[in-house]
Order: sequence, then C-alpha cells, then structure tokens
Amino acid sequence: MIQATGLVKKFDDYAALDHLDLEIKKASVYGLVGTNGAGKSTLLRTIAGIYQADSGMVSLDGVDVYEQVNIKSRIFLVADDLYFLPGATLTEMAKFYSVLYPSWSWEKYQKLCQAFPIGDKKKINTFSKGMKRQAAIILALSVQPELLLLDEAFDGLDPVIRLAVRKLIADEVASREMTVIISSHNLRELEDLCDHVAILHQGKLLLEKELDDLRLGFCKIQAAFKPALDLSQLSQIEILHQESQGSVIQLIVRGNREDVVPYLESFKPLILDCVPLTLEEVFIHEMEVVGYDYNNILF
Amino acid sequence: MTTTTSFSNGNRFLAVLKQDLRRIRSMMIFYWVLTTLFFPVQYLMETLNGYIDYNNNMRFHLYGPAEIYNTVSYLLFWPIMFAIPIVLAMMLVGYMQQKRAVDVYHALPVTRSQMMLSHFAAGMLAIGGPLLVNFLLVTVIQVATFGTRYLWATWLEFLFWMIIVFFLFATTAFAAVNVGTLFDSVLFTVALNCLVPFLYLAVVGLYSTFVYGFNSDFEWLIRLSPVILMITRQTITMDGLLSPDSQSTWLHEISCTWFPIWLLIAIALMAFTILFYRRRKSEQAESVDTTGLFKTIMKFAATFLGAVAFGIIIQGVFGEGFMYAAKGNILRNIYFVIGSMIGAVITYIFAELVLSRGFKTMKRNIIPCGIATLLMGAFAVGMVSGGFGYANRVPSPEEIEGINLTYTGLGMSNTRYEYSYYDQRVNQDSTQLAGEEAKEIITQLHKAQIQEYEQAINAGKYPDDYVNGAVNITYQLKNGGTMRRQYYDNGKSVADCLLRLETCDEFIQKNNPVVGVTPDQIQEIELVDVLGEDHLSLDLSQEQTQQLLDAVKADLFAQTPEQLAQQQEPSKGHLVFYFRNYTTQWGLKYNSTVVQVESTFENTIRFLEELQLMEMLTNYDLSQYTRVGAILRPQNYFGSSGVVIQATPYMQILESEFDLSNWSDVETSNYWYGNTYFTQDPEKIQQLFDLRRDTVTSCDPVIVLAFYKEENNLPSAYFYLSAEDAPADLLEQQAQWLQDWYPEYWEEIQPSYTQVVGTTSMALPVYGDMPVIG
Repeated sequence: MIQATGLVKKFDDYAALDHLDLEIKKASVYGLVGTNGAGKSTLLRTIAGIYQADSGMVSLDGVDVYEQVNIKSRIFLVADDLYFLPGATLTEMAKFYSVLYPSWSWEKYQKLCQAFPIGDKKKINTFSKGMKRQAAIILALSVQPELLLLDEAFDGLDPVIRLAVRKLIADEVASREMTVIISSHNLRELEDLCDHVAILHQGKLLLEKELDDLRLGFCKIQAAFKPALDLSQLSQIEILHQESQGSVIQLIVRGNREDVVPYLESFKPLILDCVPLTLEEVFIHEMEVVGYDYNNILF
Repeated sequence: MTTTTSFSNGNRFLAVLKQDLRRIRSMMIFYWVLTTLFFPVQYLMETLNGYIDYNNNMRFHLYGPAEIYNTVSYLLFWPIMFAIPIVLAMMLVGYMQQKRAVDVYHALPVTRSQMMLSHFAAGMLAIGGPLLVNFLLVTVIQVATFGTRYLWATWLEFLFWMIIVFFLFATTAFAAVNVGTLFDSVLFTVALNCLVPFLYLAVVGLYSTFVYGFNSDFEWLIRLSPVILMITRQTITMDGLLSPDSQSTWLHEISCTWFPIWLLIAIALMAFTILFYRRRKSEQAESVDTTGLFKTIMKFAATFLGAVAFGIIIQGVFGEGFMYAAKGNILRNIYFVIGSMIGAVITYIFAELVLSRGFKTMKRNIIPCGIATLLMGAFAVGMVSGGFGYANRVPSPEEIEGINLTYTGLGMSNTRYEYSYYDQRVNQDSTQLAGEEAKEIITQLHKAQIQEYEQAINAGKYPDDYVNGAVNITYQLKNGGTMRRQYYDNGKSVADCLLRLETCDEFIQKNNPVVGVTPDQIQEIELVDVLGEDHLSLDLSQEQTQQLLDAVKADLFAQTPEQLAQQQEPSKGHLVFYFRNYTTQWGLKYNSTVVQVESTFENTIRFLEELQLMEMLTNYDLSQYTRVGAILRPQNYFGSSGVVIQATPYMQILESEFDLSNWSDVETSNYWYGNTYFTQDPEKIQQLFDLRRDTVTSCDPVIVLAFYKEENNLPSAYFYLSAEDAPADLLEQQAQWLQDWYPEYWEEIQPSYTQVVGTTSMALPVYGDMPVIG
C-alpha cells in the first residue's frame, strides 16, 4: 500500500504539493489528473524517491521511500521526458537495469521485444519519440515492479500500441497485483484503465474516488418543465453547472441517479433524461467549482 | 526466468561502476592514446637520440626528478593530465545538471553514496589504469637505459600524479554537487583550483606593493595548489637529490610533505562531495539560483580579486606607471583606494550577472554589494596606511625569543671570516641570535630602517625595492608567533647597526670559525705578510695553539665598532687557519679561515712577538711592485653584502678592471675602463702603500688599490684607500669620470665628494700613467 501523509514539496516559495494525504491500495490502477502545475509529476517523483519531501512522508508498505534501496527496487518510474544513458542500446539499458532490480525478468524482456519490435541493438538516441516511449515501457515492464509510475506514459504512442500497452498493464495488474499510478491529461484513456482517480489542484487533493463511484456520483440532467422551473426551488441537490434554453434545462448535479431522478420527477417534468458524466466532464466541472474555468481563460 | 539472485550493495555499486566505465570508455581510450604518445613514446625517443652520453650518464633533454619528461611531454602530456580528471568528472557527474537524467539516476535503487563512490572509482580507474601502463612502459625503458637508479623517483612521480588527478576529480565533483548547471560546474571547478593561489598572490602582492618591510618571497604559493607544486617540482634534478643541494632538497621535502596533505584534502573533498550529494535536491538541476553559501564565497572572493586588479590598474594609469613600489606615494595610494572601490562594485555586479544569469537578482544584492565595496575600501585604506600597523611594528627585546637575520658578516668578494669552505657554508646566509645585546641591536636596526624610510618619504624619495640587496629579519616571539620583515635599500643607519653587530660577541661566536675551534681540530696555522709574499707555517704545540686562539678571541671580542669602521693603521699581517673538516656547533663546515692581525690586536701581537714572529711580517720588498691601479667605489651601503670589508692576500676582486691583458685596445679600454687610475711612479707607489688600509666599511666611498709585480698582467695584492687619504689627482680623475659617465649620480654625490676632494675643476692627465701592454 502506498501512503502519503501530510506531504509538502516546495520549489522556492511555490508549494507543488501542499499537505497532501493519499492512500493507494495494492493492485489498483490509480489515475492522477489535474491542471497544469497541479503537482502530478512532483507527486510521482516524490513517490519514486527522486524528490525528498520537505515535510510529510511517502511510504510503501509503511517504509519511507527516499534513499531506501530495497523499497526503490520495487518501484519504477517512466518519466514524461525520457532519458536513456548516452549512447546506450535497449539491450545495454536492459543489462544495466537487470543488475539493479532483483525482479528483472529476461523472459519478459524477450517477449516484450518481440511484441514491440523497435530494435534492441540500435542506439536509443536514434529512436523516434514513440519508439523511445515503447523502449521505456519494455524496460519498465521487464523490471516487474510492484509499483509502476507512469507520467504521461502514452504520449507519442500510436493507437494500436496504446491499446497493447493498456492491455499489458492490465495483465500485470491482474497477474502480479502490480500497482500502477498513472498521470495523464488524456482522461479518456484513464477512464479505460483506472479503477481509482484523484484530481489534484494546486498541490492539494481535490477529489479521490473509485472511477465508478466518481462517474455515478455525478449526473447530467436534461429536462423540460412547463411552466419553466425556478431552479432555486431545487434546494436538495447540488448543481454544479446549469444551462437553460426556454423551458429546457441542462444540469450537472452532484449525486447519484437514484437520489436525483426521483427528486426531479417530483417537479413533474415534461421530459427527464439522466446520463452519467465522462471523466473529462467530471474534471472540467470540478475545476469550475474551484475557479479553474475555461470561460475565465478565453477572451 | 525471473532473476532473483542476491542484490547486494556491492552488486549495485558494480553495476553503476560498470555503466560509468562504459560511458567514458571512448574518452578513456582517447586519453590513453594521447598520453602514451606524449609520455612513454617521447621518453623512448629521447633515450634513443644522440644526446645521451651513456659514459657520463648525461641527459640533456630529460627533466624532472625522475628525468622522464622531455619538452614535448611538458607541453602536451602535462596539460592532458591536468584536464582529463576535470573532463571525466564532468562526464560522470554531469547528469546532476540535467533534469531528465536526474530522474533516471535518482530513481535507481542505489544510495547516493554508492552512486558517487562508483563515479569516483570509475574516474580513478579510467585515469589510473592508462597512467599505470604508461609508467610501466617508462620503467621498462628506464631500467634498460639507465638501470634502477631512477626507479623510486619515477614511481614517486606516479604517486604524485595520482594524487593530483584525484584532487582535480574531487574538486570537480564537489563543485558539481553544489551547483545546478554545467556552466556553474566549470566555473566553480576553476575557482576551487585557482582561487586560493590567486587570493594569496593578490594579498602578498598588495602587501609587498604597499606595506614597507613585507617579506614577499611568495614561497607559500607552491603549497597552495598541487598543480603548482607539481610544476615547480620538475625543477628538481636527480643529481640535486642525490648530492643534495638546498633548492632540490627543499622542493623535494615540500613535495613529500604536501602531496600527502593534498591527498587528505582530496579525501576530505570526496567525503564532503558524498555528504552534499546525499543532501542535494534533485530539483537543483538546471537551476542557477541555488548555490547558496558556495556562491556567496565565490562572489566575494572574485570581488576582492577584481577590486585589487582594478585598483592597481587605476593606480598605474593615473599614477606614474606600474613600475616601482607605491609605498608612501600619497596620490598613488588615493588612486588605489578609489580604484579598488570602483573595481569592487564592477566585479560584484559582473559576478552576480554571471552567476545569476541576469539582472533579476541585482536589486536584492544592492546591500551586499555596498558591504563588499566598503570592506574593500577599508582594506585598501589599511593597505596604503601600512598594512594595519604591520609596517611600523617593532617588537621590544623583551618580547623576542630569538632572531634570524640574513646577515653573516660575509660579502660576496670581501671575505672577512672565510677563506674557503664547504658547500653548506655557501648556503648559510643568516645568523640565529638570541642574546640580549643582539636583540637590542637588531630592534634598533629595525627602527633605524623604518626611520630612514620615513625620512626618505618626507623628502619625496620613494624606496626602490628589488634593486639592491635586502636584510631579512625573522623574530621568533615569546608568544609563539613569528614576525618577518624584509628591507631593501638599507642605508647608513642600518649599516651602523650592522657594524655594532659585527663586534657583538654572540655574532662573532656564531660566524667566526676561530672562536669555537679547538687545537686538535687545526691542521696548520700560517702567518702571512700583508702582501702575501712570505708564508710561514707555525710550529706550535697544542698549548701554544690554544694560547694563540685565546689571544685572537680576546682581541676579536675587544674590538669596538669604531675600531672596525675607522682603521687607524693597516693590519700587521694575516693568520690563516687550516682545519681538519671542522664543523661548528651550528653545523657549519669550514676548511680554513683568515684572521687579519689588526694593529689593535694586542694579545695576538704580544703572542707573536714572544715567538719572535713579527719581524717576518715586514720582510717584504715593495720594489718588486712597479705599477699600481686605483679605482673609486663611490658607494653607500645597499644591503646584502658585509658592512665590513677586509683586504687579504687571497682576494680576487675587480679582476676584469685590473686585468692589464684587456688593455691592448686603448679605444675600448678608454671606453670601458676610463675610471681606472694607474701609476708607475715608485714614489707614488710607496705613498699609496703607506696610505693603504685593509679594513674599511662599505658605507663610505673607498678606493681599491691593485699592486702589480713587473711582469704580471694581474695584480698580486689588493688594498683599500680611504677617499680622505687619496692623492688629489686620483680623486680629480675619478670625479671627472663620474661627471662624464654618470652625471645624475654625480649630481647626487657631488657635495660630499667635493668636501673630500676640495675641487672638481680639473684637467687631468687621465691616462698619463697608463702602461701600454702589447
């Protein structure tokens, strides 16, 4: 289990992580979403033991990660901006990691090299962006970490490879109970992969839920009332967003369908339709609540 | 097939080490090829060329204590050896300055200590391996050519090289863990290696420019950097080590002391590098604003150096040029203070601009910049006003434990005590004194020197350092401290003090070998007349010898400064003592010495009279001497030489000016030797002989007389003649010559010279008596 308690990480005066508490269960796929500069990469680097927290702690199974070789050998980070040792080939990188990580599997490495035929004898610095990303994923999965940290891991991959990687990760989670923390701005992709999602904003955890709970915790309502309904009458539900066109209204409401629909039906709507939100919609509307609204950005 | 073998710390260390070596292998091979080409190959070529004389074991183009470098090695192998540890360290630890690379390295399951140690190991292996092979090659060539004579020096050289590369590697790694960018890494590495020697040079240079009496021998410079030490060490030769000469021995001892110290410093640097690396924040990569205290120290040090440089430039440009000391020159001092302060502001701003990559931090640096400028101004004022009391401090005799004075009463060609000596005597140029009388004399000398300086300054004359000799005083103080002073341009009052010192019992005891010698250490005593004509070996019993020694000692101790300075009549003769490898209790070795039997030496003369030996001293025949040459030495005491000059039959002075074989070309001789007066008149020869003195001081104008026998081109005897006693025509000829050739100097000395001579308007038969030698 990954646990972060009271985590603070500052860069000069700027708090990238601000008293953040987090708990991630084993064998879960944990999606991190957030605005630019929300602290996602900082959190991943702190969990990987690259950054030392200014206060608070990140632990894996109760042991602080920073400078703990035995703990770090169970974690692998695929960073957003990839780096390979100068002049190294994939095989050389594999040899390097194989000595450092006890869980390294040559068998898996061979299989992955066959699955992603990018050329293990070629120098990695000659690879394209997507090929480098594939190389990183091959190495990461061959390490067989207990905790895999993926920072914008799908950036640059073509749709077929994305699908393959998603499947491989899902298999690893299922077969080895690998825990994955994945940060991405591609929320559609996270929706397919994650079972837990957390939204970070300004170094704080804004929201953390199981994906299903998250989606089911919000409703998108389309309804028509005649005469038009005064929305101030809807005092028992939390409306995050509202739009109206004549007698037709669109609402984003916090709450599950079972509670919201009967309540609205009590106002005798002409029509009432309720659909769950996508992760992207949840993210956008949650951000609106804290003032991160594209309407404020657009001129 | 999942690898689950043991993953010890050692395995992880080796994995990183292996990876490090793989990364730098190309550079390692390149370095190996280059150093082989410029070191063992050069050595082989040198040993194969024709310059080596195997019989005499002479090596004309091989240098250093191990004699393994030729000129090409100096030019190319050395710079590579100094550069490669810095380059390799940058390659190995440079990832800390790249965010992407830091993510990978610091995520690895390796502790930072292991990581840094593996970088050090990789660097040392990459440099040490090829170097070891190169030294093995050199050893093979050396043994085949010269035998095993140099082996120890060769491998000592290898050891010292390894210490230097380790130190350079450690400084580079240390700089890297403290800064955020590659540019800063390079900058701070250079600073770490150069700053201390430069600060030392700046401070010592300032003190020697502005502070009167500062001893500026810069000898600590070689201790402040292993690179400078290594370069200086190459002036040692194997012969200098095997037949020890003081310079080689001194340098070798310093090398053997300081290279281990540098090794310890390098180890400490490595330890601090690891410590700081463990504390280093990964996010420091690519950051320019996180160098903290390290940056502040560098900035202030750079400000100091820049301010000093600027102050000296301003002083040179707006003052009276860069040459000669600025001591006491008020205007130049003001220029220096103002220049330093302007320099401090400019350098501080420039340093901040470079280190912070812009002006954004300038606003919050206004106060530190002001502080730096004020500190520099205060320092500059302190310098020009005598180095914070340094210039005028004279310890009281009560504070002094002992004194070392660079004065032995010996002159270059005017030997008072020595006749011949072993090597060690040559190198002995100072006397260690501890007596109350000596302390009183030397503190008086010190005060007199400062007073002379102040009088000169008040008269608008600035001392001209580095031109004349110097007196160095080192006080060992009772509080355990040491106080050193160096004074050039020693004047009359200093000479007077030295004259007192010449008659101080302790000084005589420590410099005149006759005082401490016992009869059994004397092989022979010879009595010689003043012209060196008659030599009589004295047949004395041990008891008589002791009596003679006691008599001489009593006379030497009884001599007063006035007697020494103003000899009333010439000496009676000379006693030459030949020793049996006599070593004084201060470790000085003598073969022999000459004692001038002054007319005031009552005890010695009585002893010689009792043995009826005095008559022998007047048995010479002056008629054999048919020519006398004379030359004026219108000198003052300038330091370095003995203040007392004595003429003995063993002197060989001013030979070229009295060598008549050089006089065949009259035109040339007129040009060069126009100041030499000659006479063949027997009456004048007798007159000059009667007026002779053989003990004079170097404070007053003195005339050197050279007496020639009929057939000789070189003089057979030398004496001195007081200017006051000199014949008028001789003095007038000398005055004319001075006016012709040294008008400025003549202007300076004319008043005192005119007082002696009485007139300077003359028409002289300048070469009238000059013999023409075919």
